Amino acid sequence: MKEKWLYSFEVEKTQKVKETVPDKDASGNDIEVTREVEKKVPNKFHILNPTRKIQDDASIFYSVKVSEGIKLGLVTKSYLMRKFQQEGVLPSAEDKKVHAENYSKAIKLEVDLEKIKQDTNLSDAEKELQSAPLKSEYQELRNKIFDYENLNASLFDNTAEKRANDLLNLWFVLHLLYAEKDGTQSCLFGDGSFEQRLERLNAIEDSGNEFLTTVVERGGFLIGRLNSGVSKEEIDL
Amino acid sequence: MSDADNKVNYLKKLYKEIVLGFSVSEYSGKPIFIKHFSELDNGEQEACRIKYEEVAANKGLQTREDKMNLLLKEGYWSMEKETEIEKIKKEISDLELIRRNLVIKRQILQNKQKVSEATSKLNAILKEKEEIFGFCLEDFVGKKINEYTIFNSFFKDKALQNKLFSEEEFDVLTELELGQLVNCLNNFYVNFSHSQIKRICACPFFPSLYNLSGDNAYYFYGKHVVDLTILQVNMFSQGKYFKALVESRGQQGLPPNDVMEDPDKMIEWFEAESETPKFTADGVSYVGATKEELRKMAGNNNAISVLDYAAKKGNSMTTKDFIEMHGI
Repeated sequence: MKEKWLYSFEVEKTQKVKETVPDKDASGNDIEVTREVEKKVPNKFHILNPTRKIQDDASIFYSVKVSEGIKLGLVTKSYLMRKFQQEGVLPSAEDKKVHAENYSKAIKLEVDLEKIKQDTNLSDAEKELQSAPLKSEYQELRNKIFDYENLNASLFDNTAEKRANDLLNLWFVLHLLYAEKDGTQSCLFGDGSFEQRLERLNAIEDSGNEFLTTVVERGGFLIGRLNSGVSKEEIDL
Repeated sequence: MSDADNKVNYLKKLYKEIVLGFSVSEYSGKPIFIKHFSELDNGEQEACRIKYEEVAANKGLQTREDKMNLLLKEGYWSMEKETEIEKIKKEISDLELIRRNLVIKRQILQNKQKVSEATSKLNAILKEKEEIFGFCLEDFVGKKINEYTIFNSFFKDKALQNKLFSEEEFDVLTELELGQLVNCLNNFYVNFSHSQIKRICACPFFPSLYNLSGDNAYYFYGKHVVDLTILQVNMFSQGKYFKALVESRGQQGLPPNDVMEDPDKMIEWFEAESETPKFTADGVSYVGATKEELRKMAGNNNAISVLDYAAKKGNSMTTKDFIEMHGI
């Protein structure tokens, strides 16, 4: 069985809480005084591991939005792909090969850097000395990878599929972000249709509630990362 | 134990499962029970299909037809491509039909090559179509029906009263767990394919049991026809067919003992009985056929090359001789 939550995180909220502290009365006797103080309290949030039903709903939503995009006059990705192939705009086999090599090298460097970090025989200075050149090489590769992916993704920016995908990410945020209160969890945007949940999101954004805005931003970021295949462990790192 | 005995023992196990109406498998180290569906269960499945179609339609998911209309209107798909798909499908089907009548190895190979080329072409267009059409109502319904079948196939007990999973549990199965169940079901369907049912009916023990039922399914299974599983119906029908074939031989009776003991040999015998290829024309020739292939076609040793025939005629053949050679 799947775990219920894909990821859990906390966001601190400044709340008024009752605090009891020891004190002395006028006669010098020990007493306990309870007063309301403002404190930062961690609030728990979860990202739901989608059930099969939720995944089905997401597939339907995406497909409906692709058709909607086509009706709106957006081109399809497959059409653009063929057009770019004909015009030679897409990366060549050599470009693809270089990108794949960069990717493998970057992963290897990540592993090497982690090994250095975990090596108990090395002092902090030695670790820094050994990892510095690797870090610089790693950063260079990351830039190349980012540029390549960014360029290719931008080719398909104005397609029905891209629009549907952006909406799907929002759909996931509205369906998977859960808040915990008194040990029970419920969807931050309540039940109902995509439009109804979207209205609640808009209300949060319009309210200027800094705490909830932070929760939505953080939840959205995490859902986006998890959807793009980044593991829970990588996010923690 | 002989090879035939091993086959029969294995088929006896399958026979038992068909009669009981369930099969036993294993999941997570525990025994699980696979229900054999009846026509009533299939009816339930159809009812679900309608329900899922409504669910998807209410959410705005387009049917293939609607999507096709949209894509045609917007110019992302064309009727020419649809015609092309149908044309290639027809071409493949025609080629396969032709192959059945071919005996010359070279021609068979050429035919296979043509089928392979046409199939590649068809797959390329279908792949393109799949990419363009995306996820449609029919895909969703198909997926849900598969899940429905999996959900309703597995039980915790042999009385088939307690499903292996509750709906909530089933909804949160991982892909790996679902994959294990699909594998389990696939193995089950392979075990109970039509050819296996034929093999069961061709086992020596089967006719003895069948003949006692007097062609009455109620006497055979002790159940009314509406309560029979599809496998039970298929096995009974196959048994009846084989019995009729044996009876049609009249006085000639049964095949030799060594054939009767081996279900595969028995099937060959049954098939020969039902098809019996008969070559009535003595004078037929095929251009490009080897002598071996001609012999195979003739079904006997009567194949003769033109040179041999000419030698018989003193190495000089008239038009009349040619006509004679072809038996015309």
